[in-house]
Amino acid sequence: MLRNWGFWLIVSQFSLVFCNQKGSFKERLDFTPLPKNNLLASFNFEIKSDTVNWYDTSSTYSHYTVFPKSLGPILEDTKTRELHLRFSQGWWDSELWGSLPQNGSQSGGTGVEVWAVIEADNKTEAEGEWIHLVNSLSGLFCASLNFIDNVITTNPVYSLQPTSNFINELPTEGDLFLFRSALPREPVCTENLTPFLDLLPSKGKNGLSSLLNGHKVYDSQWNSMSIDVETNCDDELNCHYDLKQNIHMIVNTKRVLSKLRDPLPVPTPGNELRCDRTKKHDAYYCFPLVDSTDIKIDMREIFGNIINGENTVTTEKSRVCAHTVPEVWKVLAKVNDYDSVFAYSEVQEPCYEISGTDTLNIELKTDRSDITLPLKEPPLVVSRSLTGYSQDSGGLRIDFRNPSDSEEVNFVYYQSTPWYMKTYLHTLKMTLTNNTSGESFVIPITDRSIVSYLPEFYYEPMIDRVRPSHLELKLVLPPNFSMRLAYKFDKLMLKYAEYPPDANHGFEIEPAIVTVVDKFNKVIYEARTTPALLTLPTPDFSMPYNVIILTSTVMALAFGGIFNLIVKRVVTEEQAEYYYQQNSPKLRLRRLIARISAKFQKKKAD
Amino acid sequence: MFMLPALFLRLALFLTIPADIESIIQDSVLFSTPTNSYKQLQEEFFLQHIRHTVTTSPLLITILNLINNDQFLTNLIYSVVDISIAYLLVSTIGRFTKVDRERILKLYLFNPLVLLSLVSKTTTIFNNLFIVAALNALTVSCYCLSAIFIATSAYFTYYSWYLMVPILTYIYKETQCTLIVIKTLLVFAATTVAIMLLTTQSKEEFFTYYRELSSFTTITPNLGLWWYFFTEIFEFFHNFFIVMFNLYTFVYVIPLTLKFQGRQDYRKGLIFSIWVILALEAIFKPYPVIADHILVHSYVPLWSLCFHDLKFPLLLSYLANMVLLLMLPTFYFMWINLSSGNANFFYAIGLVFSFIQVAVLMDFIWAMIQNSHRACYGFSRKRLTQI
Repeated sequence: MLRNWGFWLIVSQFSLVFCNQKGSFKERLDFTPLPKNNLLASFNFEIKSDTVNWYDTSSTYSHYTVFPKSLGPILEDTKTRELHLRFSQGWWDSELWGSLPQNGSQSGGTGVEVWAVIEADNKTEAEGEWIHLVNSLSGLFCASLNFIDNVITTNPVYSLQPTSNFINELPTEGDLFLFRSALPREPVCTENLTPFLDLLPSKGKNGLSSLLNGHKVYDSQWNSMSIDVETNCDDELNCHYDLKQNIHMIVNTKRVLSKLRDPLPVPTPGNELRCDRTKKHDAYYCFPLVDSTDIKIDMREIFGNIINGENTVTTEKSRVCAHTVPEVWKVLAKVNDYDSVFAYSEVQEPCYEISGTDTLNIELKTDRSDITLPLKEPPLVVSRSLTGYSQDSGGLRIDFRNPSDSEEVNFVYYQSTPWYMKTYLHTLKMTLTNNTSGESFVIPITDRSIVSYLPEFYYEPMIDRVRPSHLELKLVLPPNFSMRLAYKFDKLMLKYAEYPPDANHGFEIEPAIVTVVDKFNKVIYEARTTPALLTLPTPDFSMPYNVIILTSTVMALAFGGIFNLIVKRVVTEEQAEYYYQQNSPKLRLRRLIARISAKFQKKKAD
Repeated sequence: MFMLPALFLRLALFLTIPADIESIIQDSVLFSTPTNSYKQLQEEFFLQHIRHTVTTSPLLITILNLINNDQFLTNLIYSVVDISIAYLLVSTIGRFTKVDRERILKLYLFNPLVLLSLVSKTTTIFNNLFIVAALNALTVSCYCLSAIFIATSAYFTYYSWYLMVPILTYIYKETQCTLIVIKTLLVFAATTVAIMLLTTQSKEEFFTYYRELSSFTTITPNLGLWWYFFTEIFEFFHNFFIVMFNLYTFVYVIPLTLKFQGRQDYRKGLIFSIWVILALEAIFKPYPVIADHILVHSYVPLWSLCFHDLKFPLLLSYLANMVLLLMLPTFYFMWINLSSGNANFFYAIGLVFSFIQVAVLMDFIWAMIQNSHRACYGFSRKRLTQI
């Protein structure tokens, strides 16, 4: 018997070696200086799990190695095949910073956004799993994801389509459902970073993750934290999870340095002011110049930390890369705080591989910070705003601009608006303007000719307290043209208890998603608009008792008055007076006494 | 004789009114609510093309489909409907009283409030048409037609079926034949089912609208009493009061019918009870608009016989109404657009407006009771009272 066990153990170990893939972990940090003394720092962590088999329920044993144990069971429990989470803050200025890092595929809109592909037998079951999933994630990421319900969830049709390859490779048992929801009001802060670091095998203790400090990450101009889990399979249908964790942040170096010098903001002292010498300048006059282009900044200043030695679990060496113009930028690596040359050779992308347990600090130095690598222009510029000023109705306006002179842009505009924005889609008007000549023309959505610019769209109107409006437009924008979409909506009132605290602050409308696709419908760029702040009509919150009482009074008055008129007998006033005389309390009493005494007398007589 | 000029006036009004002013009127709190606005009708007309279910008024969507949503034809339909209302109204009133027909026609056809209400193009006007037509059909003894019209009206606003109670009583009193009453009731039921089957694809979609109407899910400020009450009510009592408010208008139907069918001139008595029910609906319905009140007040000349029994002279009550109708949009504008007032101001004026309507209505009921009493016991100068 024992021999038998041993045999099986050996076999199973062999099978582990041959059939199963081992997990792996990779990490990388990129620095990209941007104009106006800004710096883009991109952290990238990639984790590959061991082979997973969802359908084999007999093997309850699962080994997670580098893949986070906290996430795995949640995914398996809710049959989530793909999961994407975004925690973002700030606004990406594409005019100043160019296109988003990784073509926007890892950047979210302000607040928290989550979408997932769930396998289930039917929609109801999938909805249940979705709610289960967001509730579990809520606890894991210390975010209000538990407030997600069907009222703010949509099922995107053209946007955010699954990227895992298992969909094509593996025949699934159930159907796949895509759910997406966002919390634009959620403040992203340090308590969301700690769980992010906990997912990493290094737990923020060493390697690149030792740089991440909540106070510094969330003090940036713009930051976006993303977690993407995909299920990918190889040709032999061995499937595994691919977990990608990214943090992108824009740091204004001058601001960081001045904050380090003066933690409390103080006005620049007179002798440090940089005045325009061509203009009048003395003790009272100064026309300030732009920030100086002299920069010397290191990791300790940017992140508050330095790299705490090599990450011991990575399958390949961790790398730090800087994307600069080598002629003017110097990148130095300081091992154990001793200067050493980084590798600022002719190569455009000098990288440094971390090894050993020594600490590492990287320093960026230049006297011409205005010279950076050329910015990549985004294929489409988008902005969205609310129009109108009244509290009972308004409009939404979305502006797109195609910066290219030669190529048309095909893109999908996705937007989910809450149920209290009663959308009138028939009022949607498209205005196309030529960027150079300024000529423009308007096409209402009811016009057939709109098909050449809006070949397809999907619209699911809102239902009160049940689901949001879900709009997805497939749009085509010719080269050198701008497009404006505008439509109207009504604002509905909420019930007393449905208003959040500080109701007059307004309601955040989640950012819209723009997905630029190429001819083969492959996503080439993704961007989010800013959230919008919607003010709704508010009741007087101190009034419930008064309103209930006053309204009920009018209704009772009508009821009492009308029924009084219906039920009572109509007589002339004289008859009434006679009746009252006959029935006055005094007479009644006398009659009663008379009757009682009559009875007594009768008894006596008996 | 006024019909043609009135029709031209209406068409000219639709053609000449600037789009901005038209949209202000169409969005105005006095004339439209989310359930009956023209904007909503257009939205649903648009949505049905992308294969979505139509909830508010499939019947009207069908009509819009027939005319292909043509602007001029729509305006023409609205104008013709409005003029038909005036015509039917005058012929009903003329059958009962000897008031000057032309004056009533002029009052309706050239009434600025009626014209504004028409410009708002709310669907309430169709409901009004069917109610006016039903009453007219009743007075000329076309009972089945009357039932068909009430069924159509009930299709727009479900509580119109309340009117079947006095109407059936009227028919019974008139014919003394139970068979005809049952026949009318069957016609009513058949029409309801027929419309349901003809215009909606699914049962689900048919009930959505009525569920929304009776459970008051869409809360927007309006002339009525519901909106602020259900904004402010504690969640625990919400469903209880939804039921109470829905029952509230029905509570009056049978007592009013019983009371006024006893009048010697039972025809006038029952028409009066229908009128009172209509007035109560206009005041206490979830989404009232001015068009509902217009319908009610258009019938006032019918009760000219009891004008001298009114406690408040008509001039006074209409003056009060006028002042309130000016104050309502003002306070609404102050709250919604200027933010210099809050919801309470608009609510308070709406409350007073409802109260005045109730007071005027009670005055009419008392006057009618006195009139019935005099008709029964002989006209004397003696003052009447109730015990």
